[in-house]
Amino acid sequence: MTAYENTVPAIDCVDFVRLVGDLVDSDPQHWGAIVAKHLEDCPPCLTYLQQMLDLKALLNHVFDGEQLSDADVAGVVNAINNFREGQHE
Amino acid sequence: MTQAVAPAEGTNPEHLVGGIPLASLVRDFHRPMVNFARTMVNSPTVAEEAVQEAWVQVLQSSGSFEGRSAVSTWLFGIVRHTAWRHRRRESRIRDHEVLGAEATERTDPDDPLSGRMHPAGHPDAGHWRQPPSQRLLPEDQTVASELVACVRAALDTLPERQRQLVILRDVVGISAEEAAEILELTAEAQRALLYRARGNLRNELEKRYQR
Repeated sequence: MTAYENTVPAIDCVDFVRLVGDLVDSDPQHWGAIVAKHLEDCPPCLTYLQQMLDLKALLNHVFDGEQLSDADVAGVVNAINNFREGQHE
Repeated sequence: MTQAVAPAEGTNPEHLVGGIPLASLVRDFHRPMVNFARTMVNSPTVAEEAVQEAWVQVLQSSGSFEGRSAVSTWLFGIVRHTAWRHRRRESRIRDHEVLGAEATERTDPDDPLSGRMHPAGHPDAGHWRQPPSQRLLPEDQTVASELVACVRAALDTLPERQRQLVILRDVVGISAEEAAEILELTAEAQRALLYRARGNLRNELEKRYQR
């Protein structure tokens, strides 16, 4: 018996995975008892949620190393200038 | 009519756009803008050109930016329009991928988790038939470059609108409301499209563990 027995509505896994998008974008402190109960009862959904959190962490790195240096920024500003001049010739 | 352009004004890296120096915006947003434009045009060169054109528009209209939306929302909205113009020049046909509420139905055949749950009528209906196997990252959250490369490759396989939304939401960090505004989606369609996009990415990464 879990701490949530008979006090918190149960949802199935199909409903849970629909919530995961909102969960990964929000503070775990605000996930609520329905989510906590399902995670306690369903290891596969916990793995799924962890995978989606991992995915979000990985996406933060996909364009690493692409931040522009000072020289790159100057180059872009010059390119904008050249583009403007070309546009109005 | 050719609009008069004040010489050099727009070239000043300290020129303020929405209260932010142009150089800061270029540093923070130029590459993400090019990546975003790249989802709509055929070549990196054309994407760069579309973004340069966007910057010109930004400079020309920076005085009229009223700050009702975030600067990032405004920038990506402009890129979307300039990239579309370049795309029309390329005479490419848009691969429409408009998602409505149907994408959130439990029986959606394009659901990334389609077939992974027991169907209605089964004793375990609504629960996993084929559960996910393991986390994508190790417990210590070490991010291996090989795995990042897999994510990037998976991102490139997504349909255009899904890729755009993931770039805006998960790479640039734009809010759901702002991303919906940029991509001209309803809130529900944005939510459904993101569910599908992230689910497809997860599926691609899961295959990595099954090889």
